[in-house]
Amino acid sequence: MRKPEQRDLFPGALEMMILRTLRKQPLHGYALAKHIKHVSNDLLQIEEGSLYPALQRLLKAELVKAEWGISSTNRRVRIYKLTASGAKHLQREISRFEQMFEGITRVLAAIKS
Amino acid sequence: MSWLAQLFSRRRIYSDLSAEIREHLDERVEELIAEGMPKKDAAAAARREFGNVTLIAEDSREVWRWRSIENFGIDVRYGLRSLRRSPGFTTVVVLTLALGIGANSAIFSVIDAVLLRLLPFPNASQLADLGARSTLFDFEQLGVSLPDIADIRVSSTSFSNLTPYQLSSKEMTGNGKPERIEGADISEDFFPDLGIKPLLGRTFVSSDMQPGSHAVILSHSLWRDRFGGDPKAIGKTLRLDGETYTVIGVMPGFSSTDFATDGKVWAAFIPTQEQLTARQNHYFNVLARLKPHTDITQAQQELDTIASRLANAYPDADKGWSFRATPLRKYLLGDAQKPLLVLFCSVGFVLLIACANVSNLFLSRGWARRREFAIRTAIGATRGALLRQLAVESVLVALMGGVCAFFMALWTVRGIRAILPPDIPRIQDIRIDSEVGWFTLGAALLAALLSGFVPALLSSRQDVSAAIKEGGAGAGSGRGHNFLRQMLVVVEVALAIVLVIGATLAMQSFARILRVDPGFRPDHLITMRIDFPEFRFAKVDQSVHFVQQVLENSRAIPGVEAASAGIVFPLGDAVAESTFDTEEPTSDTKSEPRMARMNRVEPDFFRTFGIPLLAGRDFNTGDRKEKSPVFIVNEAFARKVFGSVNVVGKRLSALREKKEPVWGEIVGVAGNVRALDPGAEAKPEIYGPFVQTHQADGVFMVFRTKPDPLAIVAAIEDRIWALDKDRPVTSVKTIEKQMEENNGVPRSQSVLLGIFGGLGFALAIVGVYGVMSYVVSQQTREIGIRMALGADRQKVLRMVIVHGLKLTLTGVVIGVGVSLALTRFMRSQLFGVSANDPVTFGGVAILLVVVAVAACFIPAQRAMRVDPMVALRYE
Repeated sequence: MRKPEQRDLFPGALEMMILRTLRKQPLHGYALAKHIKHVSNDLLQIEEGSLYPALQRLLKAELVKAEWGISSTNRRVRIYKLTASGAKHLQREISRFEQMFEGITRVLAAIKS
Repeated sequence: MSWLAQLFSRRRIYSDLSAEIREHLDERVEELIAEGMPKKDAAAAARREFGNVTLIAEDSREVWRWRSIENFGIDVRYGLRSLRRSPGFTTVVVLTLALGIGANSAIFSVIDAVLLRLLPFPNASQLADLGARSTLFDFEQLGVSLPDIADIRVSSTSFSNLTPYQLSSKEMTGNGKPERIEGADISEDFFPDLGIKPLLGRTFVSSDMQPGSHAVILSHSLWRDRFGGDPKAIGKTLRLDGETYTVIGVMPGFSSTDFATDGKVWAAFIPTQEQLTARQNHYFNVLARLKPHTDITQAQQELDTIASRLANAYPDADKGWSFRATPLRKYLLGDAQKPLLVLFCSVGFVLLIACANVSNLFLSRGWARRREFAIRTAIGATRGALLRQLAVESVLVALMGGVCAFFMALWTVRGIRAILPPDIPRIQDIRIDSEVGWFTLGAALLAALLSGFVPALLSSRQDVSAAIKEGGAGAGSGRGHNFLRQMLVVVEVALAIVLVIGATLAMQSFARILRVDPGFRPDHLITMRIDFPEFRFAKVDQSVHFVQQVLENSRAIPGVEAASAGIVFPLGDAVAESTFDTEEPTSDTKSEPRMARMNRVEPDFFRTFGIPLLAGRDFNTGDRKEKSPVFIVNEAFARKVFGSVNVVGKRLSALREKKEPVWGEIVGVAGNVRALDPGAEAKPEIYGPFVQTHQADGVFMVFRTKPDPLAIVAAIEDRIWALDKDRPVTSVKTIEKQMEENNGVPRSQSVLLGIFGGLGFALAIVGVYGVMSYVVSQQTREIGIRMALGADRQKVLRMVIVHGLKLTLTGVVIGVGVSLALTRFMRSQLFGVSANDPVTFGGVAILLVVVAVAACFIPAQRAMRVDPMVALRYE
């Protein structure tokens, strides 16, 4: 049985990046993919397509919503927006992530010294 | 989003998704072209960057999918495939379940028809039978007199209607053989009260209720037989009781009930002036309809009050009488309930045993498949998924078993109907219908749960690393499995013990009934009945003369050894009682009035039946009507009243109609006849000569023959019809057949319980065998080591058998305990054997142990033949 989550760096990382990006501005899928690639300096070698299952999960959980609209380049696109509960969820996830990251940093520091 | 909305919006979501992915690719292609890439390369590059489009679209869609239901289809397909891969397992499981469920379905069809199905009348729960009881007579349900009915009608608030009716058979002539057809005289309210409308014509109205009105309503079957189902039968006539009746209505085909509606012809009930006023005539049946929302206990309380008031007001007629309202369904059911519940219980046990066996098979299969499960777990299946898979498989086999069971019930229901005694009410209504279908489905699902649940729990509990390693089958593995497996055997054996003990008790009881000395020789006897309706036999002398002539002519028929007749058929359920007095004071207490059974018989009665005369003489032609009365009493009477059988010559008066007793001499003492209830004490009985009777509505005649008694029936009928061509001859039956019918309930009980007991026994033994085989195969290595270390083969054999014996004995002890608690519910149905009969209990226990040990012997021998080298290399 396939587990789509395992295609990310760690479970929930991709979702977190999407939410983080959408907090700044609503975007459509292609723009979202480009943006994430760009800000991560192409460090995260994710397939563009893997964005879509993640977006569907977020849609289903009602953390984002989508509407068909016209992009700046004049194409019909589906624009994703963060919902109120999505914003709250992101806040929680970030603080959880920071805690975890802090823990990992400490352990790594301990090994180095 | 709710799951419902999801279900409906899913199609849109999917199309949005594919459109979006398409747009994404297009945008990228456009961009790449804008960057200067050739068009053809751009498309490929866009796809490469995007990833596997199909897979991603599928993953995205899966987010929305209703997984449990959709995976269910996959589970079913997988389950079917896996069952097909092990046809042996599947066949055994399906057959075992089919036997267990099928037995239940078949018995349920009987329970449904007899106990559960509503009567075919609207608001049938409000219908009741109103009867009476008397402290004078030992009967459950006697009739009510018309003046009493009128009083209840006035005083009671519980009933919306009370309709008296009288069961009455009529002689139908003018169409071949004269026939006596059952029927009832009913009032105009009868059918409206039951709530049934005629198929043709009408039911009675008040103008039919006049003397001289000869209107008649036919049953569906009589209409079909007599008028060929002619739709224009209304207005046609038929000869009944020597008069011409006009058909006014035809009723629809009722599902038969042992009730007035079971009759074939209904005439108007026109009470005579005497019947309307005679309060002591407690002999009318009453159909009662309770008012809506009225409880029957409420009605009964009211009836009790009315009865005590009437007893005070009319002590001559009503003292000691009380009324009894019985729900119509219960009234019709009689005492058929308990034997059926015992049967149902026993098939339930059969199903439980079958489930235990199947459970065991599932356990073995689960064990055999543990690598498959481990691999599935390793590649990501959750325990829930495995459980679901196993549940689906048990439901699948149970459903297959259910389908087979349904067909088994279809094929066996006729056999069961033949085994059941024909006088069980509504037995003709037994059929395999949708109710039975639903029951079968329910039983199958229950069986799936019972047999599959625990094995599934155990099999899905996976220790991946242990299972994947090849050598997992050594000693000590699957401890939970083995414990459960042995528990199941214990339970099976216990259930089988209960079943077999129940069956053995029933069979023993039946065997003892058959062994009871009836007090006469039942072989080569045939009996038939002639009635003497008033319209043809106005005086009793005519009847007496008729009987004597028929007997005299019949004695000349070759093959007839003896012939006689009497008023009360000794093997029937009708009895006549009479008051009597003795001339000299006797040992029995002078409680007034003294009652005894009374019969009037022709000479040769005792010789024909083969009843021994213990003292004195038989009646003979010298005992005439005008002479003083003579009596023959049975042994029970002589001992009870006089304390000895030396009573010839003592004087007795029976039937004190007049104030002064008419004394007559006892001329003989006859042996007791045990007829209907083999367990009951013989009842005191007085016989008088038929010629001295004051009343004879009909007689039964009995013939002892040299050849097969049925062979002479036609000759006797010819003699009867030579005297009166319109005389119906009814109830033509050999005495042996009659006795068989009287034993119908215990016979069917012992046959059916025997079948189910045998089935349960066989299944339990198969279970013991299966588990011991399994244990041996599990212990092959252990046995090999033991042998390699010098254990001899006998020891190995003993080890296996002792193991099996332990399990069996545990089951036997539990089973005997449960039986002690349960068989007392059978006590009322047992004759001549105690419900806790130690011989039965011990015998069955020993039998089961012996057979179980024998079943262990085969795997034990296999164990004995284990070659240590092979066993040790085997893993």
